Amino acid sequence: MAEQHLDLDGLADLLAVGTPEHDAHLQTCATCRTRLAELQAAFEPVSASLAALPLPPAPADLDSRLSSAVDQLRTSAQPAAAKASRAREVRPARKASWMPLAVGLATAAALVTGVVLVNGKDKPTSDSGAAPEAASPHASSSGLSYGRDGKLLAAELPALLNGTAAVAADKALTSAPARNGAQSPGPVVAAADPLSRLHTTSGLASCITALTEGGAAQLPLALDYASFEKQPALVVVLASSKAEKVDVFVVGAGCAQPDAQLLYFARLPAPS
Amino acid sequence: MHVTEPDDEDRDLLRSHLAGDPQAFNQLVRRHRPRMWAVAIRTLGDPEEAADAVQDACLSAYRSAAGFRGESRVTTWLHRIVVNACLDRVRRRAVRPTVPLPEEPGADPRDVLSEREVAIAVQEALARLPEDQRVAIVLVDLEGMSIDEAAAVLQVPGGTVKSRCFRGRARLAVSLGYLRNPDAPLVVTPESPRSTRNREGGRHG
Repeated sequence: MAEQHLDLDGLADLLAVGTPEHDAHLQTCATCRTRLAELQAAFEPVSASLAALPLPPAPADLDSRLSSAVDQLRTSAQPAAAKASRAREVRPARKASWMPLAVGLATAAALVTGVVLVNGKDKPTSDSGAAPEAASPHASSSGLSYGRDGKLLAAELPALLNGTAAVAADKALTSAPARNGAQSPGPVVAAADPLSRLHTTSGLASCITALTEGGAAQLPLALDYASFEKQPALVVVLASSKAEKVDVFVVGAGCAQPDAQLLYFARLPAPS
Repeated sequence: MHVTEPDDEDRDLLRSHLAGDPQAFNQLVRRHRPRMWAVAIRTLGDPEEAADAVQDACLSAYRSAAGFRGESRVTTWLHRIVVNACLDRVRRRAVRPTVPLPEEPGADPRDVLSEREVAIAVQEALARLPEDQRVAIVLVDLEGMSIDEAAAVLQVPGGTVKSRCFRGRARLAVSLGYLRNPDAPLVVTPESPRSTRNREGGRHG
């Protein structure tokens, strides 16, 4: 029978926590005892090397860069929220449809579960009231069909971000009645809407988590339930890691962890 | 005499931020930026990527501040966000670390070269570690956190952090030449169940 020695991880585990299995092996194996002693002795120079590792200085402009990025996020959110608030005042039906979703999304971004939007009527039941109004995303249903050339998306981005895309939704739905099978806009969340899952907080949270690949939770800046290359699609606008940019994702109706079903991505200049 | 704990001050700043104080969040960031930078540069190696990761983390923290439940210390919460921002970049871009070191005018060139070479070797060896071991070593060995503090940041049991640290140190010992190459003598026979169970990075098979 071939002798089985502990490998490097096994020896390290033995030093870290020890296991009865490994301890028993050590009792009978002189080779592993020797290797364990060698490893233990090697830890000291490793620690010394780590301790001597110099810390590269931060870029001189890092503090001002961070302050600027935070200030930009704050100032870009506030006017947009104010415009959206005014828009909701003149379109009360939109307010009824989208405010719970916006608040629910803020809650989802904070990884709070238990809020489900059903036809825009249910109210969040958690402490989502703590979500800042300025950070609420603008959700619209423009009905537009975006294309791979990205031109329409770039043109509509300011409206999506400042909350005025709902006007475009009214126009689009009125001018293209066949798409919804009705002459009037009708309810925003239709029963047969292929994007209906992405209207729920949990569905959106899963999709956004897939887009951010498990990174820190992100609250989208804007959403648009639309189509892409004639397929139902959701446009998700997230803040970019690059200054003065936004990341625009277009995903299919099945967007969820682990597959975001990404159809299109563009990093676009943030509208001023 | 009442002594204000750092975490109390952090929580006050966070509350002020949520109440609308436009300066509070920046003040919170300024308090923690040095350690956020240290974690990012140690984990990523590349200064530009590290700066981007710190910025990502700040913006994530700003957006998710309302969701902070106070169940951990503010510094733990911020470290967690920085670690996630770094790992996000590691996974997305397979960052190739570099080791920029400050010039030391006046020092013996041979000493500087030697220190520089050692630092490069250590940083490169760190970069080759599995990411979970690398982050554990950054938090515990380089940032001086206790096992419990690192466990709170990483949201794993303390035993897991300890195991990751020891496995990482063992790999570093080999990479840095403090331990003989384990390829022949330390490799367990392929049919051994222990070799499969214990191997994390596939370096010893």
